Amino acid sequence: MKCENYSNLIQDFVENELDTQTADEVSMHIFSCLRCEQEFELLTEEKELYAQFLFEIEPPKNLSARFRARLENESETVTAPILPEISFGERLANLFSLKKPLPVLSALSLLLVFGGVLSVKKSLDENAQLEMTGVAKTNGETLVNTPREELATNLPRIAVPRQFEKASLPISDLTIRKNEKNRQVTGSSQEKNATPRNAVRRNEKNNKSVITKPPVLSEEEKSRFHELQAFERDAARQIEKIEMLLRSFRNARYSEETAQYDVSFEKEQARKLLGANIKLRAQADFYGDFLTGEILDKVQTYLLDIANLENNPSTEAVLDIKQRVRNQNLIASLQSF
Amino acid sequence: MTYHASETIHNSTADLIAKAQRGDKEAFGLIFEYHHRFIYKFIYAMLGNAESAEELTQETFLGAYKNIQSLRGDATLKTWLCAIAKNMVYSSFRGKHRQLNQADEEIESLELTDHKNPSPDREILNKELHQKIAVALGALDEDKRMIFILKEMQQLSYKEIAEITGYGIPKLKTDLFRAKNEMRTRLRPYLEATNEV
Repeated sequence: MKCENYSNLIQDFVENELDTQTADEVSMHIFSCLRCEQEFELLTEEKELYAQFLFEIEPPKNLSARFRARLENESETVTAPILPEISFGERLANLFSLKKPLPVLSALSLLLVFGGVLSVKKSLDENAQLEMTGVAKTNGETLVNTPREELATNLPRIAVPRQFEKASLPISDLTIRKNEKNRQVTGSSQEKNATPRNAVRRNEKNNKSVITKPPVLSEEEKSRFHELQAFERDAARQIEKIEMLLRSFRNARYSEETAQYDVSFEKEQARKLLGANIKLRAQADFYGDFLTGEILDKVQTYLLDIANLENNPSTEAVLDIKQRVRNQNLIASLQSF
Repeated sequence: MTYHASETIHNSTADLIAKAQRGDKEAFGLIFEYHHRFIYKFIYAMLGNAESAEELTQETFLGAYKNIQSLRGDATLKTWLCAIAKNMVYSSFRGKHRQLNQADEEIESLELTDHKNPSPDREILNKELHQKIAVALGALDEDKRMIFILKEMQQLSYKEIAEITGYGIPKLKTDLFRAKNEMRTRLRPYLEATNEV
């Protein structure tokens, strides 16, 4: 391949958009062609500069709390999927390749569809109401005393503190258990079968279902919940910082003067992030957040390797870490976390 | 046993989305926690205004919550949220929020630190360089600015940016190339001064 052809690929190489084989070819050419190497260094330096532009930009710390407050005030609306803005008649006409929609055919079809939607909606609303009471309706029969673990199968992984549960259960299940405790304190078996405190109630004025707020947790439970939220925030922040660090390390440039990669900044950052990483790993174990714990455990290897690089690291040592980051597709994994 | 981090992450996100689609606000709150910083940085870079970025970040996620049902299984959550944020930003360009080239005084108030233990001269220069980057960014047209931010600053792939913007990859590459040339032209004096210090 001619040098000018490589020049077109260097941009994509810097952007990490090449497949492995092409990237290796371009990489080998860069180290043997002075002109392309200069272009590579210029593009890499620019990219590092721009990538760091947003590094220090952070949202205000109370943004999460403010958003949650706004979200609480939003009524629970289960909206239909966003449909394109064409009328039903026009869509029907397109289906049958008619130039003009047939009003009668459209009206008849509309009536059939509405009838079906209303019957399905009624069935769904009944199921939703029953679901909140801890029972499920299947095949027309109501199952009472459905084991809670069965209902929790599709809930998120994040666990409540182990003090509250023998096995890890999702956060929302803490609310369900609190409801049950309240019912036991206040009611007899007849009251248990009555409408639960957090059942779905229908807003007949605008025909929307509104889920009431769950009962208030105890102070200890609130405190634990807030601790868990704080941990999740810190973990997300840590992972984002590590993602930025790995990107910066991946884009580290080779210095002609010193004949080595300049990774002093990345070394310092890795050392700073290591302490927080160890702490967060311990918290992840404590809260039973196995996913976060595994991610932190995985990146800790890289933090250690980068932090332990010598002051004048060999090219091989730096390239080894770069290659491992690329092979593991680690940055993409962290980005999607 | 080989651990595939990306698979586990995807499943966890899918769980949260499924719960949010059933109306679980706590699940959506976690989605906010994981993604709001990325969205905030994108909107901030587009508008250059922290107050507007805060407001539009919340509006983005509120809009996402109301339309969570429209999130298809083949779309990733991050690109979907970015697409909503992009629409919010473009709407605001026609609204009351100030654009980047009018917000120099706010950029100057940012406490940007150079983390490489610089000399005092270099520290001042880097802060100035950051400000100049912000101003140069604001001088780009909206499409080029958006593509530049998503690619150069937030490190998304062309495929992801294509999902967000709806543009083809050839157009993205062309716009990015032009955006980088414009930025380079505007920042050349400052980049050269940085290298001399």
